[in-house]
Order: sequence, then structure tokens, then C-alpha cells
Amino acid sequence: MHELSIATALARAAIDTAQAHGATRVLALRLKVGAFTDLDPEALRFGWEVIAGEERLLAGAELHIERVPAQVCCAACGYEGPARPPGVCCAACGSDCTRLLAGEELDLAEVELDVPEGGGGAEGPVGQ
Amino acid sequence: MSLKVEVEQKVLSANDRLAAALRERWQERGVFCLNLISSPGSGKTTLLERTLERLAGRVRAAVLVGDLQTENDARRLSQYGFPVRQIVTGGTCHLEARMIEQHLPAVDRPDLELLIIENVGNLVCPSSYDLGEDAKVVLLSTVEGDDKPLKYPGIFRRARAAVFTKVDLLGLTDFDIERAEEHARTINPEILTFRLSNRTGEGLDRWVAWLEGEIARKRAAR
Repeated sequence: MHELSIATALARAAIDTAQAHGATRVLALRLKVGAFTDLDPEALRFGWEVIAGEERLLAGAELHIERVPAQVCCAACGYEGPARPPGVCCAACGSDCTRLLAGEELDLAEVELDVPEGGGGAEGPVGQ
Repeated sequence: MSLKVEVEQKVLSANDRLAAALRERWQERGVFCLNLISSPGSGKTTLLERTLERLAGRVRAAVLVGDLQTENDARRLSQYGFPVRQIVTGGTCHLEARMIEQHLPAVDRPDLELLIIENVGNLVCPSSYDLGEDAKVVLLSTVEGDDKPLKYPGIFRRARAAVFTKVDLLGLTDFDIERAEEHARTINPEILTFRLSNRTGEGLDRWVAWLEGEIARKRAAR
């Protein structure tokens, strides 16, 4: 159940982002989870609800989880694109001489904030 | 007004930073650091006992062992003459870099050559937490499912080596070791594989030889 630790780290990052932009509330988070990142989305959602429920800025913030499929670059045939599931072999020629381009993510991609009109005391330009 | 901010940051970046600092320290000092990961009951502690037995008097090693509750493993491991420290996580299912940093002073010594970290018994959670190790090693015993590399690709992808334990029981279960190795290579074509039995000693020589080779290589690269 490391999902609770991950939810805690997400909350920290979301609060930091909200404060840097003078936001009054965090509306949503978009998380990228690679095919080779073992994580239980339901456990993470549960952890997120628990953690977010304790923070005024995060109350009601939605967590969107985006799965990122394995993407490879093939040294044998030059193919670049999705790997042949479930592993990292080339989907074109079957070679296992591939380099992983995507699939190991556990990244916070985007935070959606509610910012008062007029900047709300943002420390930097909007969209920074 | 709604504002979308592109963050694009690693969720565990705070842990990653601490792990990078540990890795730099091991690089400077030429210490090889191993992170052992498996389900509960795959034989991590027993493999460590057999390994420490063989390394006694040859390598200056230290052990950090994570467990949810008890100090039993540290007691078992402390009889081989190496400093051992139990990290009781109090329910947390994995070790984090800050725990390594915190408990390291209890076992560290200036001439250390090998630090072995035995992670909490869990195939999922520890795979996401970098501890600054040179190699993650995943254990899979022959009483588990041979499709586990496909079910838990995170750890098999990130592991340098997979150790298949309890091979003395092959034939008594439906575990197909060829298939298990093939699954591991599907996820990670470069993964090293070992077959061994802690009970009979089969395969231990090759495992210890690999470990000693890595220790020597790391020291030489200082």
C-alpha cells in the first residue's frame, strides 16, 4: 500500500503549485503511470481521498490517472512506437534489442487550479 | 478562474534526490550496494545468511534489513560477524532513501565494501523507491507462480538480476523455470538470472562469484 505514500507526495506537490500561483483551490491533478510502474489505481484513489480530505486547498480535487504504454526504439530495424505487449520487444520485427522510450513514468503531469480573477497574488506570470 | 499548470515532475522526486546523493557517496567510496526485493517467504533472509557465511573474512560488508514489525531477521543475520541493523517500518510496505540515510550510521565503517539492503517482503511497492543502490535483485521462489514477472513487471524491469530460489523443489510444484526466465527476459532482456537453493547450496557459488566480481569492479572504479 505504497499508494498512500504516493498520495502524500502528490498532495505536497499540488499544494506547492497552488501556493506558487496564488490559487484558492486545487481542482484536479493529472498523473502519468507507465506500464512498468506497478501501482493499484483504486488504492491510490482511496489514499488520495483520505489525504486530500485533510487539506483545505485539496478538498474535492479530482485525480486523473493516465496509463502510459511501453514505447520502444528498436536497434535491429529502427522501429519506434508501442512495444509488443506484455514486454519490451519490437512490435515490428520482434527483436529484444530495444531501448525503452516510455513506460516507467510515475509523474505528476498537470495541476488544475482555481485562481482568483486578477492573479490572486500569484508570484509569477500566469502559466509559469 | 481555472488555470492548468504543466508540472511534469516525478512524484517521488524528493526520494530520488536523496537516493542520488547516496549513490554519489557509494561511487566516491567504491561501495557496492545491493537492494534485495521479493514477496514474503521467497528466501531473502536465508539467501543473505548463506551469502554472509561465504563472505566472512573476505569482504567488509554491512546489512540493513527492513521489516514491518519484528527484529527477528536482524537477529538471524547478526551471527555472521557483520554489522546488521533492522529498520522496523511500523507498517510501511517499502524502504525509502531517507530510512537508509537515517539508519546507515549504525552499520557504516570507513572501509566498507558492500552494503546489502534487504527490503520489506513485497513485490510491488519497493520497486518505485530508489535507495541509491547499484543493483536491485529480485527473488522468485519455485513455490510461487512462474508468471510473476508478467504480473509484477515494475520490479523485473528495474532489477539487474533475478534469483530463482528453492530450485530443490522443482518438479514438486507446477513452476516452470524456463518459462519464468523467459517471462523475466520479456520484460527485461538484459536481466541476469540465477537458479539456486539455499537448502542444498546449489547455485550459491555462481551467485557469490557474481557478487564478488561486482564488489571488485566498484572498488576499482573509485
